[in-house]
Amino acid sequence: MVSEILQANPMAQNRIATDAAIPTLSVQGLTKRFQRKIAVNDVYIDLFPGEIYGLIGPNGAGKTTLMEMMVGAEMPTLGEIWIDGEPFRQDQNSPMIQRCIGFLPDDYPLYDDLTVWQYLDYFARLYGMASPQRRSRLYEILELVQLTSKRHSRTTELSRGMKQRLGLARTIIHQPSLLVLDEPVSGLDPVARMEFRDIIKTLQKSGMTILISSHVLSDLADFCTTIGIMELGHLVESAPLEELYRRLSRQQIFIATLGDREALAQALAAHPCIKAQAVVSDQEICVEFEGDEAEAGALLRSLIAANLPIRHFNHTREDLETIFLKHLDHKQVS
Amino acid sequence: MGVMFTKIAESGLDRIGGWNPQLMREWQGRLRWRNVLLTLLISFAVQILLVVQYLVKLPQNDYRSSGMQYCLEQIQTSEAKLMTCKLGADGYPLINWPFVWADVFRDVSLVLVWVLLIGGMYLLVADLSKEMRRGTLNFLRMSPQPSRQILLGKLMGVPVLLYLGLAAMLPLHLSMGLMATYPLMLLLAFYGLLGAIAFCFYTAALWFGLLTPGLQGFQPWLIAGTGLGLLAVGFSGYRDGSSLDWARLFEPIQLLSYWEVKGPGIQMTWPFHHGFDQQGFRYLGWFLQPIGAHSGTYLLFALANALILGAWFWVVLERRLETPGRTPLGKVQSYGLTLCLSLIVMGFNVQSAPTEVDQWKGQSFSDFLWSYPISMLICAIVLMFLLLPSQQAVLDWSRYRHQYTAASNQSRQHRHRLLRDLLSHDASPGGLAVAVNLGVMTGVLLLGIAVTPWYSPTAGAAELLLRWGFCAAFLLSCALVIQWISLSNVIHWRWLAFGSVATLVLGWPIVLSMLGASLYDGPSRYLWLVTAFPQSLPHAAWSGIGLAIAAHLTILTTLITILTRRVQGLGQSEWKALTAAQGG
Repeated sequence: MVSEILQANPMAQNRIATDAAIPTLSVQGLTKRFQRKIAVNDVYIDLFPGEIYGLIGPNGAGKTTLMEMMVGAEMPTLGEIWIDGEPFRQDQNSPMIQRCIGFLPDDYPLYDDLTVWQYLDYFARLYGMASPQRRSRLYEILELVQLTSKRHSRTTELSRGMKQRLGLARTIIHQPSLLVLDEPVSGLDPVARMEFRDIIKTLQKSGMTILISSHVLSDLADFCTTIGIMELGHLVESAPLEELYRRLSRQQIFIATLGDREALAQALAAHPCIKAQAVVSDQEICVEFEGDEAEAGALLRSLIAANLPIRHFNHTREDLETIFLKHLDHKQVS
Repeated sequence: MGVMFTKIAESGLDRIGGWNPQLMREWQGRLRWRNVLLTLLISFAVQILLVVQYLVKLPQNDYRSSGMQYCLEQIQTSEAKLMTCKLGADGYPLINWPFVWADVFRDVSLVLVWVLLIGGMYLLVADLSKEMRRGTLNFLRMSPQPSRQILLGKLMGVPVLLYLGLAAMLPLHLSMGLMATYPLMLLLAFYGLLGAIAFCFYTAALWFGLLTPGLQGFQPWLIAGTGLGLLAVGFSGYRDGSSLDWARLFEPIQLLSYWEVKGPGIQMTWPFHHGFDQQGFRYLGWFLQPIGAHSGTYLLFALANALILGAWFWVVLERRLETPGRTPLGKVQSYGLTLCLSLIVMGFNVQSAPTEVDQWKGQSFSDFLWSYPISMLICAIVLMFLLLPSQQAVLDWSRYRHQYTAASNQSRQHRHRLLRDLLSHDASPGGLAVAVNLGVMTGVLLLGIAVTPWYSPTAGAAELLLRWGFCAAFLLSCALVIQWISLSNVIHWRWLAFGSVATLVLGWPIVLSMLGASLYDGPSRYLWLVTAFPQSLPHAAWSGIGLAIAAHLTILTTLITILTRRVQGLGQSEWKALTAAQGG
């Protein structure tokens, strides 16, 4: 699949061949003003190949406007956009760059008078895919979004989840190197969301760079490598997911022992990642932990190595939703 | 057989899709068996109706009076003294068949023209409106396909069922035409002209559709109604030597009117529009050239008119599809378009040389060229709305100007660059561009005066020029007012601007009339010189005219000063706001 992407995008091929460090998408000081309102303010983002960037924020934060500027549907007031190392000017026709982008808006509109096959075939042709490759690509994509059996059905006959998958198929039919998805799972049931998550993971494995906005933060936490939080047009936070957890998530470890609680407390006190301890019961301690999964594992290993009879070790941390809500509360208070 | 046909159709569609995916998509969605059969059925039913309605009207040997015009020879019966058709050897009336076929041909032609033009415009705009509402038009914009291909696909694909139904009528139309003794070349020329006019109408309709997304479902009705009105004006034979005669060129039926069908062995002719007065167009002229006198000149002129206008609409349509955020018309484009339109309109104001009687009657240039200033007034108002950029565009431009001015201190280069921006940059305020367009219109007016043969033109020409000058100055003030409104914080500024212009252009003279401001005497007559209709000019003294010129100059200077300060202030505050926001 990666080789196919490279085949479809000679520019991306050059990029990777010459310099792997060049981002697929680079947004430099992007600003958008509508009349007197600043919708997006001075946003900088770099997305590298294979990265999945989750954009979160309350309604009206400027996520959709930012995405629309990235794909050329909206003109920025200030700032620059670079796709695969090439400048992207929205007021100029740049077919090479347009071939590198796939965009799925939140309402993924379809044509009611076409069948699933005709719909995808039409977009494949719009993006200049030639005949023998196009047919095999169509089957490949239909297989990926699990719509092969529905290829002769009209788009009106599909369920909401299927329509959403068809929209995604339309977005990736031309093998873009950058995929921009605006609220792709809104209104979907849990099963459809799970299917969608699987597709996104498959696309990531193929080397596609994905920028996705969603209000279902548990989904984003499942597959995003980086998270950006937008508020009132500003990108107030942008960091790899693990770093975000480490910095902003309150982590607790509940440790129960079969032996002496004091010995356990002494062993924990010496550990650099533990900030505080609290006694839960005679044999159980709760600690405030600052570190990642690997460091938590190392802590457990060190306790076992110290011959402490550990009965229970439960590492919990605040999820992305809690981090986001805390972030919002903090901003509102400040 | 059916399977084989389906396979052939699919292979054909596949090839078309290789050339133009948009066309394939439109055909795929529309060319379904049921739709195709229904269309053909309707087409054949209409054809049968058109033929049968004449066949039942044919004279019989029963003294009915209907259809007597188709008799080869009429005779009076000895018994009842009634007129009847002469009977042939077989006992049936002798029919002058070319006349019958000529009438069927006329009706089929009307159906072809009206359905193709009005129906096609309706379908195209309805489809575009649907795409905009659904949001799918953005997919097309973001695809790497050139907008030319997309538009071509839309033009050829959206009305495909209409094309099919009308194409099914062509054999009947052609055979009726040939049997009515119309020359084949004339018929082919008619099809060519119809195609060119359809191209012009369709591109105009699509452009209008892209410009007015807010009208939504009303769009197709409005555009179809406008087209219908234009065709109705063109179809009437009335000619008044004014700009309105331009509408005649958009009615391809006129071309067929040049041919008169001759019956076999008799001298009688059968005009295409028998029963109507359709001869007016034969006196159609353009810059003293009698273009309506001969079918060849009429054809060439109508063809050129449709193709030139169609090409203009195509250019601005492509621009609108590619960059919907820009002004509908580029400043540089507007100069060419204005020149083109002014020349066409002026040509129709100088159709033929004024007669001596006209001049002895005391007519002046103003009376002779009366419709040019009115046409240009309408044209200038439309241009203002097409040229003046939105507040956001001016804000961006003024911020950029402020940034540029702050960074550089070479004032001469500044002025040069500012002038270039004001003349050609789409986001810069449009006052100067409107002034240039008014200048172009004035230039064409001078040309009109120069080519019109008039015995003593000096006084009349000066009056006409002065009258237009007052009107143009007033229009320029209106443009500056609109630009000022666009920079206000009103969300629907275009409606407010439209209301303001309507008030200034129409409301102000109405108020003057209601207040009893005389055109002929008293100081109130000078107030008319500060309107879009300075009709009191012939009755004004030179001192009053000088006062009116001073008033116009004061108004313009004040508006320009206010607007310049506003734009500069906006640029400064915009730049500060952005740098502050980014800093914070």
